[in-house]
Amino acid sequence: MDVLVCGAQKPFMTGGAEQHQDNLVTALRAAGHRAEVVRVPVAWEKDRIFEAAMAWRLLPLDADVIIATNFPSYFARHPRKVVWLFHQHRAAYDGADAQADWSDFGTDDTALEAQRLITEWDNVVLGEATRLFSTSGVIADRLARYNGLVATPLYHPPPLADRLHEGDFGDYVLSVARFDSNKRPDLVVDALAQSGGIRAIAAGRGVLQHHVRHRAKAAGVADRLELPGFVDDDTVIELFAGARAVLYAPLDEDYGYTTLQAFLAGKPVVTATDSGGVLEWVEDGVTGLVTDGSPRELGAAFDRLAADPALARRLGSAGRERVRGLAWAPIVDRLLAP
Amino acid sequence: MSLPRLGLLVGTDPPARLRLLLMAVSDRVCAVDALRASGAGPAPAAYLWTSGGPVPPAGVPYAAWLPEVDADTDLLDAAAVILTDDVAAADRIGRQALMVPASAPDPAATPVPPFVRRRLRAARGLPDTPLVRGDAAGWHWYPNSADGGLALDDDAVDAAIAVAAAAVTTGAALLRVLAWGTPCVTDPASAEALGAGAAAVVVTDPDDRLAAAAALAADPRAAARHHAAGTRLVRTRHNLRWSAAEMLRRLRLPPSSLSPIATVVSGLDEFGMPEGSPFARRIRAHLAALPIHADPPHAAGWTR
Repeated sequence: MDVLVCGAQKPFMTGGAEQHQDNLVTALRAAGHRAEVVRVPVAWEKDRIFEAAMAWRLLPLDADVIIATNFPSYFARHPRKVVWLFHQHRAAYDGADAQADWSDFGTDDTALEAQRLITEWDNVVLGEATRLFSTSGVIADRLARYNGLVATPLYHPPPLADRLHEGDFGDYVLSVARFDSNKRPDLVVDALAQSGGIRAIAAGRGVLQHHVRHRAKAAGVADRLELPGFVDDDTVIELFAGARAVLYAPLDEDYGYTTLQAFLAGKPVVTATDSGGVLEWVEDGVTGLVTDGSPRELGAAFDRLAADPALARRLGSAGRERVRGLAWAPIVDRLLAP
Repeated sequence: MSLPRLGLLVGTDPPARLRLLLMAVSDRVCAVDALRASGAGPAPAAYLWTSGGPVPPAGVPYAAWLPEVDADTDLLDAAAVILTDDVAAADRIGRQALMVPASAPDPAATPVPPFVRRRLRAARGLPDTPLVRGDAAGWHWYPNSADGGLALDDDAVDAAIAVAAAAVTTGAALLRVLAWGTPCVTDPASAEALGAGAAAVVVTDPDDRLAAAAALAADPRAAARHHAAGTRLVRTRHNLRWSAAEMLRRLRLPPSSLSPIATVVSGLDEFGMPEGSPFARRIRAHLAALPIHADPPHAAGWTR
């Protein structure tokens, strides 16, 4: 079958969505299909948000099936349009509701009209899908709350799934995330300040990288926090393998590869009750520790795992078992089922 | 080069509603031509047949207007699309049917999703979950369901419907409420007349409807579900432009490459976008510099 995977392209930015689309293409090819990614540039500001949507509407997409993944690629028209939704334009939905600093949708008339229009258009084009899947239950729930649509979650393996491995339970907590506000990189600093002495390594890059470094100095934990910036695949695999635990507590995450990668490395995950899709995987006291997200509780969770390596091992082992069944082949079958 | 042609095979004068549909079709850059159906000139790419008209030639897709009596079932069975103005008939026929609506809501009515209403109410200092009710006694506004209703002036009704968390109404007003995308409670007869069984909450006892609306207003998922179903119903069953576009699609008469703007117009119609909307104006502005003839040719034999 000829399959086009459709995705938005934010010029000069690459992240989880692009990895996900590329991995899907790899899986489709492995299953014997011809597959390619089609990307069209998008602007996220609300004043320009509809142009790319309309552009997708007009594109000739010659293939047996298209798989649209994120806003606004699902505006594409095709008689066999499967949507596997990574995310809508969150700034217009939950971002606006949460008054997140990354949402430019306020309650002025222009913003409300743009929000109205984007919702109505989403309802039409997502309603056209011959099948509607989401990458997580969190995304399916947003669709139900905001659009009245029903999507089936379809969980997939994270990048490096076939290379991540278990290792020793070392003396550090690992954080792997972009240094952006919705990932809440401050929490690793604040939790360290409330904990008894464990180290942390926070890998990744982003606009808040320097802010976090200064915050660590101000909090007196700079000597316990390593900030290596972006690390390559080989390094991150070994960082996972040697960690005592992994901190991953973003705000209302869509899916969260870090959680799954931690589990594949046999490590428990410390998270927060408002971390969204992470909570579909992390069960308190079973596969990790779920806190209220406060520095005090996060720091206490660090101390508990630092003091009890057997607990860390037990939780991590349960996490590894939890993700054992994740594989691409069944996902390809579901997406392309007649 | 010529435009795609839709031939007419009419037995009697087509009903007025069908004429309106054909005018909307001609807006879609498709020539509607009764003369070509007689066999002279280029053959039509598709036909529209009404009861008593000549039989469509084999192998050419056609739309059939569902006659009120003595349906020729063979011709209906073979039609690419069956046009009807009867909701019950459309439901009975299923996917082959296409509604030529007998009634259409005010084009100024724009659907407002429940969560946008909530934000709008918060911004305006309005109550959290107000209800609106329309019946023989007029329209009333309920700041919350425990209070008595406040009578609304006629010129405030649309605004109240647009921001209410849920509504209660029956009869023709149901279409008005659904056009604004308001989650609605109604009676069985109104829901059936409009084909709105999935779009509205149906409550038999009038005394229970306000409470049902309050429950609907308090449930964001149910409200979003009914909003989506209601707006879909209005867009696909009570919108002549949408029906025209859909008929052409099913007849395999796509917007012509002779007029690229037709593709854009088609795209906007699929969203139920009014011609005069700000976004439609922006699209026209984007395309203004291109040498495109935006005005479609008018149909032979049909005038506005």
